[in-house]
Amino acid sequence: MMILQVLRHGPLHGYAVAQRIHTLSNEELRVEEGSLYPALQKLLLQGWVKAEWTVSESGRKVREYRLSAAGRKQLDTEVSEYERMSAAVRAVLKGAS
Amino acid sequence: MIWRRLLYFVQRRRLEKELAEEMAEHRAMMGAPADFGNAMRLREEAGDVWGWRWLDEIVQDLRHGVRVFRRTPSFALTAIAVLTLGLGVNLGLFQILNAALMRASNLRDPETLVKLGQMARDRSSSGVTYPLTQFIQEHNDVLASVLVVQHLGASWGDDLSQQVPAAFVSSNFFDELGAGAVQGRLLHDGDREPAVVLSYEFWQTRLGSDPRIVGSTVRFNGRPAVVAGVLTAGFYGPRGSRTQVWAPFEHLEYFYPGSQLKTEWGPMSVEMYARLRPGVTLTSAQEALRTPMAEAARQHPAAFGKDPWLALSSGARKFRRDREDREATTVIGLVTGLCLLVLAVACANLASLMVAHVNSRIKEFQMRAALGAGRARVLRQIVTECALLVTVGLICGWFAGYSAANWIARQTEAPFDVSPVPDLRLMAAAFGFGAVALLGVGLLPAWRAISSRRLAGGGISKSRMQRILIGVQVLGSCVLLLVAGMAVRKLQSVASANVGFEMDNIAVMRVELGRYGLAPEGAGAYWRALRDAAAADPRVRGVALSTYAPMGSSSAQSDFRDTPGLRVTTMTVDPNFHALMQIPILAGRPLQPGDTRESAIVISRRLAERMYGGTDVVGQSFPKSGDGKRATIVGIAADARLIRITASNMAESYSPMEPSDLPAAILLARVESGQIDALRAVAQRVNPAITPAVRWMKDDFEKKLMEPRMMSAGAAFMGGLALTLICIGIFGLVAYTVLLRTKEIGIRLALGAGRESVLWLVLGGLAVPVAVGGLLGAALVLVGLAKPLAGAPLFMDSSDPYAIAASLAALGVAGLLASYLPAIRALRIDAAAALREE
Repeated sequence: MMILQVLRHGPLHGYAVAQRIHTLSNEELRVEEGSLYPALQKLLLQGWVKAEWTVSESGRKVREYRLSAAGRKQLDTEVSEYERMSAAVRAVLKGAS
Repeated sequence: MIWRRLLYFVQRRRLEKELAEEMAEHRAMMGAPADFGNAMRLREEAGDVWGWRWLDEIVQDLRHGVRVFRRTPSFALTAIAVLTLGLGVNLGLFQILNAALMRASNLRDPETLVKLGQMARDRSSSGVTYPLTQFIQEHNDVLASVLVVQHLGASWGDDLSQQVPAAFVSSNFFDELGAGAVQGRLLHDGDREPAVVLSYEFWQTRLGSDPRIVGSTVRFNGRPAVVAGVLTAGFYGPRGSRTQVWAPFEHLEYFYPGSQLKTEWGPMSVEMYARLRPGVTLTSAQEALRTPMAEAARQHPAAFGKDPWLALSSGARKFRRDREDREATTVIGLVTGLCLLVLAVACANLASLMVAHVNSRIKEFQMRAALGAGRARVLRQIVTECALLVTVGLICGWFAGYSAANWIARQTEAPFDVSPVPDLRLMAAAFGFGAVALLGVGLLPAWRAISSRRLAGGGISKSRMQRILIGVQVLGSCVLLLVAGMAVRKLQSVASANVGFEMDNIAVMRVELGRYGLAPEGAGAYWRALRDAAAADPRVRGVALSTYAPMGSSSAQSDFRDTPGLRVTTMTVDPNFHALMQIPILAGRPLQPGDTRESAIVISRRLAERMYGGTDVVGQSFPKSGDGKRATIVGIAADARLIRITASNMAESYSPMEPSDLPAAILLARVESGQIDALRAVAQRVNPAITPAVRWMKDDFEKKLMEPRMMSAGAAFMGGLALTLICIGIFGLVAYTVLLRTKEIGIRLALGAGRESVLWLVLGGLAVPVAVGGLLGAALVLVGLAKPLAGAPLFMDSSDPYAIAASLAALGVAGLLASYLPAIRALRIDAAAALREE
């Protein structure tokens, strides 16, 4: 979900995805390469992202991942699902204190 | 998603490389590249998402398997050879059985096609008289169409003595049976000109596939006829015969001037087939046809027996009548059982080979386990190797089986083709056999590998499983060898034993005078003239007439209420028959001129003994009880095997000929050695217009021997196969035992153990399984199979002491030989060398 979210604003390559998540989470979260790539491959398999080769600003050859229409839809459902869940968890926590 | 997965699979080499590049870039961009971790592992984990890892593993397993087999080629080759033989026998036999007995020929809709036979309480015939076929066709509402066939030999070309198998068929014949033409057209209604149709085989072999033959005029039975067309290959007609020339029945008189086949209500008959109307079953049709039959019998009482009916047999069962069907089922069952036994022996053999093979690789498996391979992975490795073996074995076996079946079909001139393209059922059978073999081969050693992993020390457990496997092999081989022994003995007794008459230099002359328009009087005159002419020729020693030729392909048989289970060949012969055939008359007198069917009959000794309990029956009425016409017994003849030479439930009766039998009679003549042309010359002198077919009775006998020959050759082959397999099995086991116990044997020998005790150590384990397997096998044959083997149609003597002794001796000698070599090696073991090992 997080990967899809960071791709919402435009295509990114693998290293950038990890960096973006790291900075957006106030350096709280760090995506391991060991889980990043299987996750990206899974997204490719599901058809939620598309990959293409470009040259980055630093002149390196990189593969960028772009959110597909199906991926956008999936992201919307996942976000709303997550918000419903986290609201529910918050409500339980509030009630208990 | 499946599409993306497949797409990935197609491009995976490139995509994997891209992923590697991508990761390399990622790593380079990171501040601390060491944090990236193991790139190889990451790549594999990322690639696994696509779900193709199992394929990689199978390829790995296969590669490893091939490597193992290349390292131990003797094992792989033996295993493949065993599989090839085991599966080849099964597949080949399945092909033949399928083509010969099970597959409902190449006819259109065989389920609704029936053959009709003219039956009555006191006589039966597989044919129907032609006027009756027409009468039935007009007076029924269950048959959609009626087909008529008359098979006979006819001459081709200008040489009238050259006969080819031919048939006259009704004009709807080819359309109804769904035959097609490769050249020209087939026969149709209203062909004004007498045309003939050729078989594909005849066109190819005799006419060199000449396409110009269609439309040309040929000479068929001495008369010009136009060739209408050539049939497609593989059309053998409803009864499965290699008929070469087909001619229209409606023009029968053109080829046989004056033929009365179409008008006479007997005794000549044609083959009658019919297509049932939609929704009509065989039994209901048979019932419905009783009414027109009774009506026909009322109009022509002389032509019918008591309570006549038409017996229907279905095309789906190859027109077999119930008794023939039971016999076919017995044969199919027995042969299939024996084939499966070969397969079982082969599987047991392979399993024991495989156990030894796996045991020798225990270190490898333990190594893999130590490196972290899962138990399932090791199991799968073994199953994959087995699958590889079975696949190769299956391909080889299928090829071997097909070649053998094809060869046999060609050797026996069987009226079917063995197709190289397997049909669906055959494929299913092959996969079934393959799976059985795979389970037999793969699971057992796989299970052993797992359990041996539990024995951390790598000790090899006692080979109890090996002994069970040897026991199974001995059992199967024993059964196969015993049956083979019986089949060979049967052939011996059939081929060498006295058939009860002297057939040397007997020539059979077949000339169907009825087709030449000779009515009883004319036929009588012809035969008398022929007899006189023969008496004048010094090369002909004697002649006799009979309605059926001994060793011929057709005969009349009856069952009597007084002798259940006994089939009686009812011969109709003239007074010279017994003297000519040298069948001794044991009591009373032979038939004499002036005897009539009511006044005299000669019966064989077995018939007398079975019906009356003794041979002192001259003067009694025959049959003993019955309400039909009865004749007086005037003589007892010695037993003779006239028609079914392998059967043991046959007896004979001989009735005098009546004038009405003469048009369909066959002339038997004893001529000087090799002088068969003398008979042709005599016939030519008597009436040049009539061309008889003449051949040696000995040749017919040889043809009859074909079946028991094939039987015993097949059984002997299977027995030999079983023997080979058991030798491989025993040799392997003993050699393996010696190998395992080299150290122990070395120490024992060094301590002065006797040779006997060492031999016992090596071979002792075999004694119990061999004894148990042998006893069980023998018991199975002698008790369980005795009845089907002894009954129709095999008539094998399961208590034949020679067969049993020879089979068991062969098994024993082979077993001893197979164990001798490795056992001798055990005795030569050098103690010092044995202890130095490892």
